[in-house]
Amino acid sequence: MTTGSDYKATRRLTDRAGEVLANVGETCDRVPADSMGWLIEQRIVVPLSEESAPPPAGPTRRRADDDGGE
Amino acid sequence: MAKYGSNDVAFFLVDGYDLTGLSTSLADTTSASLEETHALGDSYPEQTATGLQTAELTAEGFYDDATDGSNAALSGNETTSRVVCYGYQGNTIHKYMVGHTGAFGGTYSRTASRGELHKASASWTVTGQKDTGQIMHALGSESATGTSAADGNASGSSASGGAGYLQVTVKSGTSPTLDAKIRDSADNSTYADLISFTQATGVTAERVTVSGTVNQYTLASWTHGGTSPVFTFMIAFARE
Repeated sequence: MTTGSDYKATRRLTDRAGEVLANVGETCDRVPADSMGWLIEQRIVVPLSEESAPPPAGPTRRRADDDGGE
Repeated sequence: MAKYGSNDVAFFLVDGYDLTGLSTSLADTTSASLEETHALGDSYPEQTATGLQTAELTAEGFYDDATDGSNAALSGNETTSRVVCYGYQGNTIHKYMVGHTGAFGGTYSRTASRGELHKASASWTVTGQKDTGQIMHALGSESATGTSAADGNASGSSASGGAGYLQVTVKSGTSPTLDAKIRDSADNSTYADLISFTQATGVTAERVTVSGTVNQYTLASWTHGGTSPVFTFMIAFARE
């Protein structure tokens, strides 16, 4: 049985309404068991035993005052 | 299929400047780069797509030198990359919009004619990508933290990332802040942060891209800070 307490979040997790279930690095006790499968598969949650999760693909951002080149 | 009228143009936003009410026409053109590939012995010209596409955007409207008017938005920024968003299908959540970044306003002109109001026109050459996405928060005012309705992509998850757009056009309050996010989910129950925009404290625009899997369900959320904060903003997301 997969339990959230054995995993930590690599991205902030919330319910649909925005209630925080786990911040980055926190255990996933409050995450519904039904959601754990896809979260593990996508490595959005990783086992606590992993020293440091591989960083998720970071966003790239461009604000209005950047110079353009992709 | 449907036909659309000028009243369906939801918004026309340039770096947080709302030019919708000042614009009279808007045209975007995407063209493929072609190379002539006919050779000796061919009877007719032949063209082959190189795979390169270019986008161009032109807008015309009324000249207005108000602080949030067309002149402030367009003049003096000819060499500056802009974040431009417009919606052709109405200002409604989950309707389609178009976003450009790396849009350089190569030309800006003000025209005065006898018996007419002054006109302003601008054209942008887009060096980055043109995105077609969905409105996650329709352009409108919010005075409290909130979450949008979820959008379920009909074809499920996608694998090639996406681009999020935030345009903030108006703010009020004392030291107001706006933290906007786009979140995704595979089950519409638990959501993970997908895109976190830079905290907005005033009129601004931003495009943020992500790579990899974007799950079937997406929604936008926003968190207000400060005293009596009110922001008018639009959030959109385009899957790649």
